[in-house]
Amino acid sequence: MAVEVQQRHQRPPLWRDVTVLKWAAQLVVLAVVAAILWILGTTGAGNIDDRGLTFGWRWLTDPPGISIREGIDLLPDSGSRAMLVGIVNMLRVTVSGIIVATILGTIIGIARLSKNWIVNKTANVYIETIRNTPLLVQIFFWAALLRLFDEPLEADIGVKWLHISSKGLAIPWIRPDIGFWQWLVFVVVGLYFARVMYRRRIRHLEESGEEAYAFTYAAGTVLLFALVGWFAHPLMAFLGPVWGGIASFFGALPTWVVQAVLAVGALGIAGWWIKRFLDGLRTPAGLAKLTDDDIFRIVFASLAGVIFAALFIVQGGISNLVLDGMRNLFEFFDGKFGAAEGGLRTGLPLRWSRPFVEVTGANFFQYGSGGIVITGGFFAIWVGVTLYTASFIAEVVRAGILAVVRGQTEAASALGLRRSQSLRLVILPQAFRIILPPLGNQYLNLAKNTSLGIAVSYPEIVLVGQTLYNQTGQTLPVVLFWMVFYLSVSLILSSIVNYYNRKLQLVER
Amino acid sequence: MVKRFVLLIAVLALVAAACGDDDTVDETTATTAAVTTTAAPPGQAAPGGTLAAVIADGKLDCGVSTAAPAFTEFAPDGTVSGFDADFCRAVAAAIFGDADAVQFRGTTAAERFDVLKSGEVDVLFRTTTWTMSRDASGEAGVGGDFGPTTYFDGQQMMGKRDRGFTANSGFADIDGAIVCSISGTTTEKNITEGAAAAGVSITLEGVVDNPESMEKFAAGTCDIVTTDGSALVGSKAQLDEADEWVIFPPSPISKEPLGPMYRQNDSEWADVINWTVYATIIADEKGITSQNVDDMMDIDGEATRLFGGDGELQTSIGLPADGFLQVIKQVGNYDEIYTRNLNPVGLFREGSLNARFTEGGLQYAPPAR
Amino acid sequence: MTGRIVLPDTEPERPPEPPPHGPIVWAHENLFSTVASGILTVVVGTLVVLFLVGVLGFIFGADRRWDAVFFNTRLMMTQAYPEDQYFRVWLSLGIIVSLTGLSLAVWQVGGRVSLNRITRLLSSIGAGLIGLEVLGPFSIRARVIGILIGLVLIGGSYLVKRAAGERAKQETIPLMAIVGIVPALGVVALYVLRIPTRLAEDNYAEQVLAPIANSTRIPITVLFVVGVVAYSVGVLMLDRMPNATARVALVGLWVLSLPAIVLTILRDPELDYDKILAIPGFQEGYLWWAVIFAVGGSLLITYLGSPARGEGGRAIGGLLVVVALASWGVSMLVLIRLFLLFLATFALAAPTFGGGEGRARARIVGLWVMTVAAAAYFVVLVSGPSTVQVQTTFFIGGLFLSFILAIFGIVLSFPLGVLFALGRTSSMPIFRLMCVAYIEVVRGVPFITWLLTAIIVFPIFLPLGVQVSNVVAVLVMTVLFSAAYLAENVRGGLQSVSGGQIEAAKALGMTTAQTTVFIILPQALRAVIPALVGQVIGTFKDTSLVIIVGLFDFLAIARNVIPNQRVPFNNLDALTEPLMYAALVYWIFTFSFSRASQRLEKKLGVGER
Repeated sequence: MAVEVQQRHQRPPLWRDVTVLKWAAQLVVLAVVAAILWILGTTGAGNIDDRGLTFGWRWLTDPPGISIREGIDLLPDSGSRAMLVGIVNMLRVTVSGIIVATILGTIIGIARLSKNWIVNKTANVYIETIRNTPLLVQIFFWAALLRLFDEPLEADIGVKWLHISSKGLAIPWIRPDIGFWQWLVFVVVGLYFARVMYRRRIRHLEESGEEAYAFTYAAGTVLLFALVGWFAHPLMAFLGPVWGGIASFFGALPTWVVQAVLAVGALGIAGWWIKRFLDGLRTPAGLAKLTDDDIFRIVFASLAGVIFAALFIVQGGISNLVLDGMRNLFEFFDGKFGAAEGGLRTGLPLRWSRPFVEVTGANFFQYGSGGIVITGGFFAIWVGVTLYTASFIAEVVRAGILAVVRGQTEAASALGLRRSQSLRLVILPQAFRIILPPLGNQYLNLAKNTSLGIAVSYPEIVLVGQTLYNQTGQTLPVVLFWMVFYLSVSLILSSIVNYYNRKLQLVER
Repeated sequence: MVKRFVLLIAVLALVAAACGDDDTVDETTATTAAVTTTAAPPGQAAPGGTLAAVIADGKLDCGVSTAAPAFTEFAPDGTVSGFDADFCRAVAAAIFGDADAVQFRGTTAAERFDVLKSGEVDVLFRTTTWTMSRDASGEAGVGGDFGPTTYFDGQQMMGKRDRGFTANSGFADIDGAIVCSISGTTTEKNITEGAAAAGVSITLEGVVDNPESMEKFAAGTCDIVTTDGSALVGSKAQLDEADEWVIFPPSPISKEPLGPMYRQNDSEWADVINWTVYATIIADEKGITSQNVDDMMDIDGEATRLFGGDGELQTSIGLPADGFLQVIKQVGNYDEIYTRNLNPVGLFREGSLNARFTEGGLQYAPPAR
Repeated sequence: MTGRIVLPDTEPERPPEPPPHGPIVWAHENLFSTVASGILTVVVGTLVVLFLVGVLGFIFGADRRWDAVFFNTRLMMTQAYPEDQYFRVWLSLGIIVSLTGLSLAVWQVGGRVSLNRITRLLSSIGAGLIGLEVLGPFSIRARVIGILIGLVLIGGSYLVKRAAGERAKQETIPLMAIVGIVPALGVVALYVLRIPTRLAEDNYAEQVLAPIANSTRIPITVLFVVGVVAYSVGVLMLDRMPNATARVALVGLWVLSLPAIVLTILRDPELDYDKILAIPGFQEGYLWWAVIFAVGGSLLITYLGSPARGEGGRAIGGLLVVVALASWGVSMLVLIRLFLLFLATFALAAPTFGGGEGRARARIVGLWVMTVAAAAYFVVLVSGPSTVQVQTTFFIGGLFLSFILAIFGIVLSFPLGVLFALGRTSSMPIFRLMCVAYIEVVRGVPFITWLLTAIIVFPIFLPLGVQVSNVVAVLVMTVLFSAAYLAENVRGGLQSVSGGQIEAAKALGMTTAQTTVFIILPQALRAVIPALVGQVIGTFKDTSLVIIVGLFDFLAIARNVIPNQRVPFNNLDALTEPLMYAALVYWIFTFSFSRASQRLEKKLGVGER
């Protein structure tokens, strides 16, 4: 007897359906969170009115009436300019700190693995001491240390190589001079040709198999161009009118053009991202089934594109800002090229400058504008943050090197490579891939740790922001500014690190 | 799993319970969230106001400096002394009859106004200069109100003798100097404007509070330090044993009337603060001190109204009948407060703006009638 | 012919020669193995010696103001805690010390070490002492004494090692005995050692070397004895009861005692007994409400946990959630609202976790009762004002405050961090988005910015009349911040759990919640213990940042209060000494912690398969 088997696809009742329950739970939680935020918002708005506080962005354009101890502009004429000074100060510490901390950390990390007992123990003591003491304590210590020195006295007047006093640390420095930007053009062209040269030598190496010294050739090209440019840079003066022309082009451009370009650009980027995302999901049989997650992402991306496009169209100010910025940039370049007062710019691009102690006003001994004067605040935060991050980088490097398979070390020594050669040619390149993500993390930490400059009165963005909101009472807008700034820095830094990370991953099989 | 659940409880319990101050009863948070408030919303003239809130709280939250020599000093064991601290105690004595019913909150110059406006403190006795922008509300102003000036001060500068400064130096002599001043104060703006007006160029180094600026000055990081004259005199008395520092110019470069500051639109509270200060000044005018107040409380009608009798004036502003009597008894009159705190550092009333109005000074109180 | 092979004359077998050893061989291998290494040794060695001479000269220099530090140790530990209440501080320390002693015994920390290691340690201490005396700026007498002691240590350990012979290599000596000697020596030093300080008798005129103050000597000795006694009791306990029970009991004791110490002993709240014991109404009667909820809730959970309930049970749970949310709009005790919230959570979880056989249900009911008790305990204690008479805004400061912030911050951020990690790896997009947004925003902004935000922005968003003290705001911010970092660490662990585990759990019929709680989380958390401990150390170091927002913690006192003391003696030039002391104290705690975590890692075999 034939039995009919019927297949019926039964959906469970609504209150037991997992999908329904999941979405219900999410929506309920979302509603609760939204309710809490709404309550906070209305309470906040109410409190702001009651207590006579204000929330506005006028403080960005109003003259702040403060002066800043060091930076690109000691008497900023608007709040936004003051914040810019703070940002530049923070970047000064961050960039120089990252460079030095990486070098120092790598050296110490390798030293930690050395067979030499003294070197090994010294590195170990350094790492254990610095890592286990809170950063703020170290920063205070460096600040206090500098204050133990005497101030500059009459006996100190004159040009120095290096001078330490309670007013700061003065070291010699190289400064860009008149012909700097023209010379820079030569260097940039040289970099391009260096890349071409590098590629050629690498191709030569791969075809012939003999040592091609690719890096040496490339470096030599750059140096050659730099040397030629040192003497020949006035030739670049013709670029001056070019920049001027571009600047006037931007000046003449109507705002709506820029708005349209930006809006189309936002939509275009969103569309390109969606297309790339969908391409990634395409299988030979057609488009893969989209999960909740994927739909969510596509919706989110298109929403973001539409919102940004709308923002650009509605807020003309943004486009104005962009136009002004471009125009100012090219006018700046124009000023640096071509004819200065009295003919072409001749003169060396770089200038060697030594610090000096001079008498100012009525009997004050200050550092003049020669060399670089590292004030107490900058010294404390820079040394503190660099040494601290270097100790963490040392541990990261050490872990990376140890993670390279032992077989590689043994194979290298079997091939007859010395330890330093095997380190440089075999181990470090492989370790680099492992080191990169945590290294990026340490860079982020360094950037965030510079915010401790407030403790030693170094005028980076947190201290400048605090001074501004003390003067104007605009605490909430300043806090929002900080968050946007730091989030952008984190985003940019982690994107850079992720980009290199991905490049390294692709190389691997 | 046991641990985790217990910890989860602890999370929610502590976070929710954190909605109450250490010292306020839990229930004010529950009631005020939904129903009409019984506690005073800070900064508003609701029925009750700050006075009712302070009385309900049982103590006065007084905002003072973190470290201003002779005005507010935190001793290692936590006791607070100083000119401003004593006035805080006077207000507490007036309200509660107990000069120790005070909780001191040290604030930096930068955060003092926020602390006042948010309600964390009830009054600021914090060497705050009375200026128009601080009185004003709105975007340009701070939005507070001031009581009677307890100390007429002026901004001055301090330099080192071996740089050639004398008591008669002036703006022209500070050209090219690095000047330390406290961020967020009127002194910062004054020195900038003064230097610009005198045509000299200075570099301003901002510091957080007075001890830091003294540190930097002593170490040589700053060439000049500028702040209220009283703070300079106080610091010099404590730190400059070799008399190497000198304060100039002889007449201050700005007016700095220092006094109590409280929130706007609270006239009842204003009356309490103002008349406490005036009571000390009136007692000083009459020569009534903490020693002789019991005997002297009847020397004339005004003294009786303030310190003896049925205390009608006191109760009409919300204080207990013996409020001002307790002020004089437990803290002293203006002269005692001044002498106790400021004389040891070399600030004297005679010849200064803080002398009695009968002796050429500016301390003058309206009649208590 | 028989097949006997006669071998030529060979020498009898000798044992293999031991490899060359001795100091000269060691120096050759480690210091001078190649020319480059030799040059490095010389250069680095010289630099190190110069550095040490400079540092030691600085630390022991004549114009160092160590008296400013030693005079103020009490200030740095507890700031303004009143003198007449100080027995509370000692009581708390006593409890902590005894619990530590018990824990060391119950977890059988330590093990055994060999005599070799001890003699090696002693010789290196001796060598270090000799180096210290040679390089530091000491008087001839001090140098001679120090060098003699060092030589005695080195010589003595060498002799002992020779005398013990082969036995020296075996691990015979219990580590705890050695570890116990260090605090014993410390206690002895309290009576013998002289430190630079100033005496009240001279009116604090000048620095003298005097023994450490009387008042702290005796309590510290008592504490040490208590610790030793606790350790012995713990060892005895282990003999009488099974390991697991002892450990659970001890964990329970720790969990109960830490908040009890802070909230009850140190803070000494003034409780309104009328309100607590009153007939339950909407605004009072804490105790009776707790009883009502405990009993009623247990009944409800038992009812819901029975497997026959099914959908009805979940419907009741959903209803309870609505009631709990609605209760925040009605005016009632915060405690009641919390009870309702917890009840809703337990009601929803009861069918999953409390169903089935009696043991699971008994467990969840027990958990509920404990929850009710703990919540009532906390809320009642925190709502009473502190009776400790201090004129600052928080009842304690100094190192105690740093520890309170660190411990409460870490403990409270733990469940929050786990929740965020689970949310971040969840398959539900809205949860994921919210958790990602939270984690990325919190991690991207520096901690000091968050602290400033907490202090200045929180008051703006609180409803009128609600006041939050600075310390509580900082604590909440620490919890939120630490939770984000914790979430990232736990996320790494969650991703390391292999998919096979989840599939097996599904095959067994476990729900998602059960899988998460019983299968995934234990493995995930165990895998990330090193990262978690690193996070704990990081949070402890981060508490030093509260000086910037004006809290009087340990660093604030060292940096701000001490150099500004003018009475009883002027400390203007004592700028670096308190900082060095603070650095040392922080370093001791952090270093011990990281060392302990390394040993824990090795013991748990994390990372090994």
